[in-house]
Amino acid sequence: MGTGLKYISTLDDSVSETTIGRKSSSLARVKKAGFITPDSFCINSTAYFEFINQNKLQKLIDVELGRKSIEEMRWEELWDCGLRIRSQILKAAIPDQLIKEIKEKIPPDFLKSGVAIRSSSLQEDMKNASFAGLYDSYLNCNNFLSIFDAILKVWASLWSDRALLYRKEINLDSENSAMCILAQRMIQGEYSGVGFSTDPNDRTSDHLMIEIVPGLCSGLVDGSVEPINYILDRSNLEVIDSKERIEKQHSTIEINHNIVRNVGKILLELEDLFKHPVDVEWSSKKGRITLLQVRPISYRQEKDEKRSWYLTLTPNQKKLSSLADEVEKELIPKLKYEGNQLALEKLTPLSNPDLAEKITSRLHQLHYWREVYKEKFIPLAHGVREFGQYYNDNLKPQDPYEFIYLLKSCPRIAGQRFKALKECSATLVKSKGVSAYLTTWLAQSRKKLTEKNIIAIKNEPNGKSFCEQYNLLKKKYFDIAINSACWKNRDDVIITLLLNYSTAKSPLDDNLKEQQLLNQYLLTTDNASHAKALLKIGRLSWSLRDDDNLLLSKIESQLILALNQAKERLISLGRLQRSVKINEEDAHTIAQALTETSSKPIRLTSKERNHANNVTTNIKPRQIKGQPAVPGTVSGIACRISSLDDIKKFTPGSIILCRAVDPNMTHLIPLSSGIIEQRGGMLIHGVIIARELGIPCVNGVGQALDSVNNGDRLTIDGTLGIIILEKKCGDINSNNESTD
Amino acid sequence: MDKKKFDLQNEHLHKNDSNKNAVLSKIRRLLLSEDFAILCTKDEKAAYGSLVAFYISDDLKHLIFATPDYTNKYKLLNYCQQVSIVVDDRAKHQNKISNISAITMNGQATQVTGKDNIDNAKAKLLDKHGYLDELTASDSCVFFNVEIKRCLYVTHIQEVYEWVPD
Repeated sequence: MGTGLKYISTLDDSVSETTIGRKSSSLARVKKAGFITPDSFCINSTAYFEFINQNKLQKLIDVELGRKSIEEMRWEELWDCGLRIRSQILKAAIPDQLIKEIKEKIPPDFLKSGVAIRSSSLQEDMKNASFAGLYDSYLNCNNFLSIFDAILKVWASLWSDRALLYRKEINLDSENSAMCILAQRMIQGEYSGVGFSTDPNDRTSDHLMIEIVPGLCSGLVDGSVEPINYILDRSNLEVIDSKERIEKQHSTIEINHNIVRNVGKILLELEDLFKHPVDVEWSSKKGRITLLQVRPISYRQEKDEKRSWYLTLTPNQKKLSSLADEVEKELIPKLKYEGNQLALEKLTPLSNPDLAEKITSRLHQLHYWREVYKEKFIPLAHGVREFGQYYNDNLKPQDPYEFIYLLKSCPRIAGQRFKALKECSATLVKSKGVSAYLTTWLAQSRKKLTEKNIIAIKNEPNGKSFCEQYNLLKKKYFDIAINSACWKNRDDVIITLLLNYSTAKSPLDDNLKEQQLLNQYLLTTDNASHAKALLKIGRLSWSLRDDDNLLLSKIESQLILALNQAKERLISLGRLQRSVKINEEDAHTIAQALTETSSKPIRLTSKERNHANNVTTNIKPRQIKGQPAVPGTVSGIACRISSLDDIKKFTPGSIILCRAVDPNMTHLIPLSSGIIEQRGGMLIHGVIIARELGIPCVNGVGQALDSVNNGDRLTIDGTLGIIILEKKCGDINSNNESTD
Repeated sequence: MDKKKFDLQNEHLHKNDSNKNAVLSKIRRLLLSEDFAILCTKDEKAAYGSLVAFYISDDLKHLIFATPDYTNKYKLLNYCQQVSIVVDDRAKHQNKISNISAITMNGQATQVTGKDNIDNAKAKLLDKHGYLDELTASDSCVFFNVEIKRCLYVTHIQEVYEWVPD
């Protein structure tokens, strides 16, 4: 190599794309053709591989990626996977030789200008897939520590959740994928921007597009600064359309027009050089245009809607702040208000057509709020991740989820519900007469307490105060739904819970640890106001993540109540059988039936999804792998939960097994000894509560869990993410070996 | 549970390919594609492992291997017929532990007797391992047939399935 260095080359050296990555390689080509580029050097792929080998990271990456098939991972699991790899990479040591070479390549004046550390992977910037923004770049590093820190972060970005999302297109593979780095002297431009040699919004047009912002380009790239957009005619480089603000001075407009014409000229020359339309990132100082990066414009059509949606879930801090404001001050109060208003409406006096109208409007409300949930609440939940990553990047903790301790202090509805359940349970246990009465009542297999029952309870010692507490508990916390059934219609389930709730574990209040971590967090950051702002968003996002679900469930509950009311009427008309279970999908049919005079039986189209295992081979999982969510080992009896009836049958001390612990059932967790969820993720509801209570949890288990039945004996290893099933089939020996 | 929201978050569960038939196919593929296995035998004092070239029947119920009759494994097989056999594909995935799959079989090993049975076992083994012609022609060579009672298939490091032949 031209530099005589092992890990570093310059843009003037003749080195291959596989050595320095595509971004560096393209810029080297541009420089060779005579365009202006910043002082740069490249950290090659050998450096990356040396770093990985020296720190024994390849096996670790393999283990993380091999926990389960990546195709089966939900986006939350991808994020967790990326977080764990990032956390290890950031704690690893950069090879001494590379440190020496970097120090050699960066003289004091280079460092003083600031250094941009940009990703230059072997896979990015391809013609068919540019993957712009997939990997990280860091600007304005002005000391060696920040440069080394940025290098680690760029290397880590090779394994980010975004990269994992596109793993197939970029052939992501621990053995062969490498991240090279382009280090550039910062150009403190007067204006910066991006440019496209053909309009990316209209490929067939004869236009090119340029965006311009004052100062550095970073705000434009991350979306925090609104650029001025110019459309130019390719044939004469005249501005034919722009989004210039009216208040701009004429001189500014003139300057901008000169710059964009220069950039336009360069774009056409580059297109000629690359024989393909290109996009560039540029900076202008005293009329000189410096090219920061050049790549082919990709016309990749994103076919996967969910993937596109996922990529929108990472708003920048500014957007996150305004989203937090909107959610906290407008949406959550509105959702709460609407739920409460609906709960006040009396359905019994309504005529059939009015009830039909009510069902339709409640269905619309539910759909509306689900859309809000998807568009606003889920992206806000990203605030926790944004904070978590910042915390880990700064503190490099042993446990990559340590940051959760700083989020817990906010009161959540679920926490208030837990406290209310505990208090009501304590009253019940103290009131022997009430307990005895309710135990006898439960034995009669009734679901709802009648007026007569309530009078009888009130006549028992302390009965009146129990009734008051119980009614308040139901009204405040149980007007929610689970699997198309309303909690508040099932006194039998709530009372069973209350009778057992004295044994429920309480979360540990570790205020001292929280305070220590907070001090540590604020001490290690070099930008306290940024750190505090992220913590604030994280906490808000954390506190709302349960509440939004519970409030949404209240709206769902009101729809189900209206459907149940309609069901009773249709049963009395002989149009529906009591055994038929009505779901939300039937709402339109039911509403329509209420407006008809017909006496014909109603045909419902919705079907319960059948999760039962239909495969009849004699294959049985013996050990199931999932994500290690909460450490600890426990053995117990499996109790599958998917309905209120299952909750009623739940025996304290059992292991909960479910598709997902919804916030509508998180209060069951303190009664359990372990949690297994098919849904994966370290920041999902079940894990959050289990972690607070120290209950072992494995999640992200997948379909294999369908083979586990109620009553099966299991062992959970929450540290390794393994579920061991007690041997039942093919027991050819008497010894009961359990693990491999 | 809000079903729509659940579906949004869990669509992968319905596409999951780790169903039982897929597992059986993987077991089959591994056993038919590998040539060698570790045979585990024991006596009253110790366990003993040895490498054997094997043939497995298409229904995966019978495994055949050959050994001279003066070997340790022969002695041990006469002591205890309960054996364990391990087959794995680590040679194909040297650097990726999570891609390695392994099968542990439990079964009963019986020496093949009777000319027709011996000829049959020899033909099957040689069909797969032609280079064993010298060994199988030797007077000291005996064949064992292992009736497979159970297979434990391990993948992704610690994901374990049990298959019991009908």
